[in-house]
Amino acid sequence: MKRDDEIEIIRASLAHYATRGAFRSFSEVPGRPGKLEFRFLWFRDVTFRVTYEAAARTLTFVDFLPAVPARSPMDSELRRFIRGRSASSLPDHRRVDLKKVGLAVTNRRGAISLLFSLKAAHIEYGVKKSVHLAYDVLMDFLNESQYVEYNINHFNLNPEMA
Amino acid sequence: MSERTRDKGKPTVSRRDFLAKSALGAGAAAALGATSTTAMAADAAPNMPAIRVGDEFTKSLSEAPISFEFGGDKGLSGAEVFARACKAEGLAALFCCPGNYTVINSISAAGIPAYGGRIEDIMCAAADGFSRITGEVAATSGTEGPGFTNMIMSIASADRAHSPVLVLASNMAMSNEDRVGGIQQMYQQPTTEGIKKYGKRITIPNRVHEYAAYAFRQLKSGVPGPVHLDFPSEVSGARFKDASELKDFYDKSRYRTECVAHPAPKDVAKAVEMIQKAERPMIVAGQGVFFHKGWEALQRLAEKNEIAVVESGPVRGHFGDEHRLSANLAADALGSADLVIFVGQYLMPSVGEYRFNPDVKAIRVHPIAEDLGRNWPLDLGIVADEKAALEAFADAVPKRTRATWVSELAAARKKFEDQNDEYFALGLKYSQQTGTVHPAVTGKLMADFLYRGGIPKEQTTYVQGGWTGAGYTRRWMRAYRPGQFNNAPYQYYPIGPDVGHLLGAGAAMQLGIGPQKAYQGSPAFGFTGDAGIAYSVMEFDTITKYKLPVIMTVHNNNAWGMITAANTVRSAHMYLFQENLRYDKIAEALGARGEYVTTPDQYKAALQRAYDAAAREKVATLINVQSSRQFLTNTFPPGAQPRNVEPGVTAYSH
Repeated sequence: MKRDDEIEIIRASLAHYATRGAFRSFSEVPGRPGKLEFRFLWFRDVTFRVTYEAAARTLTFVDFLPAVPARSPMDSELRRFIRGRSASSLPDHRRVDLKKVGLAVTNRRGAISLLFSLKAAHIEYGVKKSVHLAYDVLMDFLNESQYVEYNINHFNLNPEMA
Repeated sequence: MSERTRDKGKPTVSRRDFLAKSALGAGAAAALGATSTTAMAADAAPNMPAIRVGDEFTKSLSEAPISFEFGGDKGLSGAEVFARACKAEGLAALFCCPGNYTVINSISAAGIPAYGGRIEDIMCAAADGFSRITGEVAATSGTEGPGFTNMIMSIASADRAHSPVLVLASNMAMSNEDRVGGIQQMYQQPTTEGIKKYGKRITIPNRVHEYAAYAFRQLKSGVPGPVHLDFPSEVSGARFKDASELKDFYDKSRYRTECVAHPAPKDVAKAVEMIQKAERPMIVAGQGVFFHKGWEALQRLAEKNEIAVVESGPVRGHFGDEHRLSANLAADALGSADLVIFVGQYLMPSVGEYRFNPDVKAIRVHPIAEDLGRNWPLDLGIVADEKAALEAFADAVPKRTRATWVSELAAARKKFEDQNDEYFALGLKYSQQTGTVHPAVTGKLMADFLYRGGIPKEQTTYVQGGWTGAGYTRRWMRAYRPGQFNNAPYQYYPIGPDVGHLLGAGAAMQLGIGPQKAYQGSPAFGFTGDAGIAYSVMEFDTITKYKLPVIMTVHNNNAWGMITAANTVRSAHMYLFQENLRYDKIAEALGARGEYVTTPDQYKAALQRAYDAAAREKVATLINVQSSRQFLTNTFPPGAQPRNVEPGVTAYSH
């Protein structure tokens, strides 16, 4: 598959979530050749940023979780949670198959990014699983009781409802 | 007189003492056929008059109703014409405070069960609570001005719950408008803007029957919601010699229809195609399934094609928690659904508020077209009555098994229940450490008593109120049949009217209305917090005088649940109450029973005594469960926020 075709799949796959009401105010930010950038509102109307480096086939949820100190308990718990999403005990439709998409977590100056290495034969799969895994983090990982204050401070949780 | 085995040296009162004092009380009087003038169940010191239900109350309640028909010399008043219409429409009950006198007097005189209480807002909540678990129209009423404005919180709550509550209020005389000549004058209809389905200040006396028709057309058609009518005295007090003096005076068979929308065959075919393509379909069965009595069709559809079902909305039980296809407890399976079918989901969440995955396809069935596509983009929208659509789907889908999906549901249920057990084990440990009762323990013990003890698990109804305690108890409480569970704070989340909801549930059980008929006379249980009880505890007077079989557990942690928000200097004092307040004593002072417990074992025993008193003697009980606000902190994980997922048993927002 040509790189341009892959890029169109990336565009269409992400735009698909805008038509389903998941991503709101979805837009593509003009960038340099070979690099795509998308912005949208998601999860309590927080702005998220996703980039795609065509040469490396890397899809990144940039600064996905802010204010998570490196080597903090939250950082460790998040990495454990993400590893768990590829466990063989999960059914296929819930599992990230690492043979089809690579996955890494980085923490730069307290900002967690999720990096997905897509494979030419599984571009759509990789995009879908990246969105689902990010969603699992937001809906399940951050739903644990110890992150109430974090949600208030960084993810628009209304303190009246906390 | 509390039953307590440990109360810091204060004298204890035994079960025998209680019975000696209460056996001749109002509840016992009903059971034994005694007169109503005997002593109530409260301490009565020598020479101190005992609490009792007066003769006039009992006499008034036993008077024969009147059939309001034209033909007599005096004709009928506007209020009587309205009451006649309410009777013809089968208005199930009225919950009111004095005021709007001619209207409430006429409704009660017409033989409609009427309950007079102490606080307009809480009686409005009672009407809401009654409607939620019966599916029937209930009315509430208060006087103009203060009485009406007092009702606002519960009108708004009923609106969010889409309850068919008929809100009535008097409203001075039109002849005095703009003169500022009388007390309590205000324009009511703008005040209920946005929190009602329909409203009208009736200003033309001979159209009173026409507006009764407007009200019931709205209450009984399509998507229910509160209807607000206000009556100037020229309308309620008008006299009509015969029916010819009224405009539009005709029977309900002519002013409204029982006809409902049925799904178009092509839409049914499309829905069936989508269901067949799906591997893991799930129906979200909202309150519309209950209100439009679609639960048998729902079960037939689900079982025929092995479709999972998760309940949503203010009332639960129309599919039930123990069905192998129920996802009510299967929070972790929600994200696996590849097709969701919203049926009777009146208050639509936005994408992301329900724990479905971002790729899930969506069908929505709704009685009116205007709401289809709101908040949640649809793959198929179907305008239809819920029962009609479920029957059409059930007829059209092929028989199919989905073993893998059913296994995943079972695994998710087990995971949820295992987590509950973990919370309970922690709660027991924390209870022993503090000498108070953790809400996880309260929830587990109440569930054990109601569903795994000596009474049939379908027998009682339950009102889930409260805030922080509710996060632990809601996940334990179950619904096994339609109308068994009222999620009182649903969506609007008022803190406080929980006793009103319990009062309404008690009346529904007393009267045996709708799906409660098979359980007539059985107790209704409730849960609230120490913040909530303060708003509504006075209605234990109403509960007691009408002999309603109810038990309310009060989670008493000496603070507003929102104490966790007191996170700056000089803020905590605004969130704290005096410690160890005794809400059981207030109930006793109002003629009910009180129980005070500080240990799990005491709570178990108190539940049994309370049940016996309610079921056998029709005596209500308030159980004050002493807890600790420290349970809300990270010292006692998971603190204030056990994991919450919607829809299903832990839901309250949609």
